[in-house]
Amino acid sequence: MTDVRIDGLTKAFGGRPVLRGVDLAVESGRLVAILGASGSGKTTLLRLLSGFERPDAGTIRTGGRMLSGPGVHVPPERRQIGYVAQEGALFPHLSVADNIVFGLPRRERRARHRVAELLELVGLPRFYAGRPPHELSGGEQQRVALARALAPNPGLVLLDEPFSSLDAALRSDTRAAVATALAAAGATALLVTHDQSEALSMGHQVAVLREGRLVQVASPETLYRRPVDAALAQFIGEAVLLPGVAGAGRVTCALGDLPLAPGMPRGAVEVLVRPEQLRLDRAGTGVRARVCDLTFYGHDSQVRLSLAGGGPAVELIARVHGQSEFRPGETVMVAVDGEVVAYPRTAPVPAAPQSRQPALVIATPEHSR
Amino acid sequence: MIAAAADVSAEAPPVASRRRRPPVGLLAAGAVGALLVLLPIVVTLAQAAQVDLQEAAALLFRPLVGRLLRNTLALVAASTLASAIVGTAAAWCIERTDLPARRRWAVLVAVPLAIPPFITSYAWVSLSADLQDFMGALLVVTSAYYPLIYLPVAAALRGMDPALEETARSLGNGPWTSFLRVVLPQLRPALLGGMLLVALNVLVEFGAFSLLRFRTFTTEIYAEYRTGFAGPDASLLATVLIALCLAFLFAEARLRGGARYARIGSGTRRTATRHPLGGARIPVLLGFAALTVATIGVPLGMIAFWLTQPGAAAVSPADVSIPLLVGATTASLGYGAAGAALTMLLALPLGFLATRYDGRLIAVLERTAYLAQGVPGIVVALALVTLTVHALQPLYQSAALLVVAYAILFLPLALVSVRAALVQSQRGLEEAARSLGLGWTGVAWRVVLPLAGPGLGAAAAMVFISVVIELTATLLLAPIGTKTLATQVWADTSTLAFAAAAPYAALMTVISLGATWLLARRFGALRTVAAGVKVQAT
Repeated sequence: MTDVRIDGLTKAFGGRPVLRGVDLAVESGRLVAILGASGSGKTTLLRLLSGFERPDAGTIRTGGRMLSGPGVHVPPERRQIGYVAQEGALFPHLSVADNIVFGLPRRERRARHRVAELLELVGLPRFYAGRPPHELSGGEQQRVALARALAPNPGLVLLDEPFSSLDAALRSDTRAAVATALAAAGATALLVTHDQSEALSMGHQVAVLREGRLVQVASPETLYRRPVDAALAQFIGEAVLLPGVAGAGRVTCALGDLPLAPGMPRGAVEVLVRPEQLRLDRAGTGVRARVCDLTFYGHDSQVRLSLAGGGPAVELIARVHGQSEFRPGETVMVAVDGEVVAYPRTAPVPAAPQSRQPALVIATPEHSR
Repeated sequence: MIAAAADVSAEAPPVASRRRRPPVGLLAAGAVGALLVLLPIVVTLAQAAQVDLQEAAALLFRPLVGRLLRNTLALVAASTLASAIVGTAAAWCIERTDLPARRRWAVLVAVPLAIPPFITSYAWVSLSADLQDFMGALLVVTSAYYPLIYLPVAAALRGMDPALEETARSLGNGPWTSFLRVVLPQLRPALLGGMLLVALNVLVEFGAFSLLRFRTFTTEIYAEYRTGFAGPDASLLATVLIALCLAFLFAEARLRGGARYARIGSGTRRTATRHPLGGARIPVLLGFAALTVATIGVPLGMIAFWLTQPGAAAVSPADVSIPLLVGATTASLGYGAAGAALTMLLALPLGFLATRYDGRLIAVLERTAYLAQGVPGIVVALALVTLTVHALQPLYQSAALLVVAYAILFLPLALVSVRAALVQSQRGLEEAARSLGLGWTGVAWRVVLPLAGPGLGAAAAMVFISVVIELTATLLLAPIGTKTLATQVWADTSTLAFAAAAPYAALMTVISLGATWLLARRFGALRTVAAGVKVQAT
């Protein structure tokens, strides 16, 4: 068990800053997801931790030991930090068992020390030991890579987008197996990912990296419910952002007078509503809106709405369960569940709500009857 | 050549399914190349079989053969090992360290492939006669062939997932242990393949050893030919040499077909972090400088030196005249063009069969064509002399026969590139073009040619270069009175008239380096060139 302490970590490549003063403290035994878009510096952060690159400034300590700092650079092989690369990087010339014992002293390598135990830990059958890596599926390769990283009992394990190359079906199984194995081994872990749902579902804490800076480090719930700014809100999930005016505990916007979470600013604000907070109903209370189109995903549907009434057109996105049957052109009542979050309004509010593109859109023409 | 490509594609409509039987005409055209390759082997074996067993035993188990075998194998072993060490070290420094001016070194390290080994030999011999021994031969062939190791090893290093090395580091291994435990095992196929190619090239090398007066099988076969014409002695020695070559060739083919440590999985490739050379920087730079001086500086420098010397300054004075020079250059270029044309004509049907149709017969034809890599130039030449003297007298010492010899020697070289080029235009694309309303002419003109044309051009160019710098077959088969650049260098150097040889050597090197440079620039692939050079040594 090892805690990690990073202070003022800075790194530039060829004059282009990649990390700009990152501070992060990770408690021993926790799994922290580092979430960022590509180019945010998350992989660089991992490579600095593992010692493959040297920081320009700042310090890295694990378990109270200085690994990187002014005049200090412990080489990767002496850091005792496990590393799981993007595609596992299993040694193709070695069997599964030889891969797993690779980092052990010669005597333990000969004895195939702990191979069966580690295979079990990552949820693979024992007879996999003799197989060559290329006979394994992508998910199995990742599990072996984790077993190999865990074999020398590292205090800290780094995972560099370990699930990004797996297809959706394998991904959730492999995620679960990895989380279980890490918890059982009791190792502190840092998981780098660009996948919001992966970060939210796996991390005890999520650290969001944007343009080389950590913008928020919080529990997954806090991060999703109360992101520190509107851009982060859009990055973490689908978001509807509306201009509004906030008073004491309430905010007035196109969706009506809504309860505000505590500690929010007053005056001109941007209001964040998550699509699943919107309740659609053919009758009842709320604001009138017209259904523009509907995208069906099975477990749920995404509904694009346009608010009726005067003034500039306001577009909304709602998530409704897959059984609901709304039709384009229909008028519905929109109500909001729970508290909303607000940010001081500085820049103009984006005209259209941002959302991730659906994999397949079967659009219904708006004017069909 | 490009027109020929269109013709061939016309024979087989692009809509052909993979299972369809190839047209008989195409099969027959493909068979011509394969049969031509078999010809010298069959003739040599037939000639050797005429010797009765006792005589054969007496001829084979004499001390001379033992000495040749020792000489040849010791040199093969030593030069292969030396090339492996130099080539791997150079590749690692260029691909994995912060060596200054890496790109420039990468080019300089590949350049020796474009300098014919017997020119390198000429340069060293004219520098010092003391080099006419084992060490001299080792120096010459190592400096000529170590790029055959460098190129595949460097490519393997580039293709290797850097995460492998990093993972090894994170598991407690230092840089050197990581290299031994992870990097080297990944390099093994590339390294062994390259070593077998070096060995094969040293086995078939003739010109370089002849000038160094180092006796190997090839030089001895030539000596026997000179004294006893195409007698049984020469055929027996040739049979032993063919057996050795084919053994290496099969080992190489098996290796290529066998275990291949491909990357597991696919995805974005990151470039590897480079190891800082630190204090080793200056010694490593000096090493590269010494390598460049030895492999490029000495050959080019000695040519330049002798160019400025009057003919009388050489050991045996001889002069060159402009008409002689022009004549030799025209002959070399003419044979180059003719050799490239015939070789491509033979390679195209084979390449087309191999990329468009399936079947046992096609596989046999293709593999037979590749056998030519294991048949030394001296053996091909000797067999063709035997054949024409005994059966086809009018062809003996005709220009046509020499061109056929070139086609046999360089068919594998052309076939590798033709195949790669034709694969570029896949049947799926051709079918898409057909579905868009193009007839077969339209497909050939607008799809096959744009895609495969450059590759076919490269193939022809490589054969052209190889013919221009070919020595052995030219020496034995050229019509009386025909002088090419290569034979002139050889003749003048043999009589120690180094100054007289210099202009021919200079022209040949300029043509070879220039054409290779154009090829590499056009296709950015010194590797393609390297694939070719492996068969050009004779």
